[in-house]
Amino acid sequence: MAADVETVIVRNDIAELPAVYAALEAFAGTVGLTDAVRRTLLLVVEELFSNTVSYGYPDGGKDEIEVSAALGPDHVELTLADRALPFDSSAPPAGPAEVDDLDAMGIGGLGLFLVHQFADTVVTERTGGVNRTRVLLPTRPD
Amino acid sequence: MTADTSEITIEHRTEEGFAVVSPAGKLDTLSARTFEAYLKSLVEQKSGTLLIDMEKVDYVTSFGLRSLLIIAKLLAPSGDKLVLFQVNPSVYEVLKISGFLKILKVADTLAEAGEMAGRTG
Repeated sequence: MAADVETVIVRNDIAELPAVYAALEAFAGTVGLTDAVRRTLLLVVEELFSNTVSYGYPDGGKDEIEVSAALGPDHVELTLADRALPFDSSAPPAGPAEVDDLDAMGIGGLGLFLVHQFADTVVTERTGGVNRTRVLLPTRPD
Repeated sequence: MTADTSEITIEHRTEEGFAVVSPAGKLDTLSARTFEAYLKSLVEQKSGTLLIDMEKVDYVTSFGLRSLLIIAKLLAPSGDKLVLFQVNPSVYEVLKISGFLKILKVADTLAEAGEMAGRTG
């Protein structure tokens, strides 16, 4: 089952995002994800990775972030592990305000909201200074 | 005019009397600023309503949505619009979940986008 798992370790730098994408694109190709699931996987990792890199290191500390994807019977399990400031991604944020007016539209917290909308499960655990966020993305059709 | 980063390439042309912008790639945290700057430049050139051909945009993250919102707000005072067309199902889902379908116009084809752009309101 080794082929059904992909892991990449990168620096806590947004410039590393293409390396994360490349690993997950390879995983998607190997396990035969549909385009829809592949896109969701890439969107979710982008939101989580960019959140961590943007807000998790206010003092500019260096870190390595481990990103892995594994194929389950009816889901993809995406895991990010880092030593950033504690942050609980499992708390579902409020959705966008119900507005139909451009001026009233805001996007604060939208990234994590999207993650929760697409995922069946979002769990963050912190052990020994390591944040480990695990996301289950359904692979079955709705 | 063209723009090219590792994440996105952008070009535009004039068609049906509108500026038609064709990004290709991902609209994410790495590319959104390039995309936004490109569209801002068109707004500054008084290009009017912008039709965005999304056929080659793989997915849009919250950073991409932010850029779309900024440009739509820039266009609004002059009565111009931002109309997306040929949006793939994944991008459509993101627009729907995020509430953007209520504030942006989305068409199936260029012709339909042109019709929407011509309407008031």
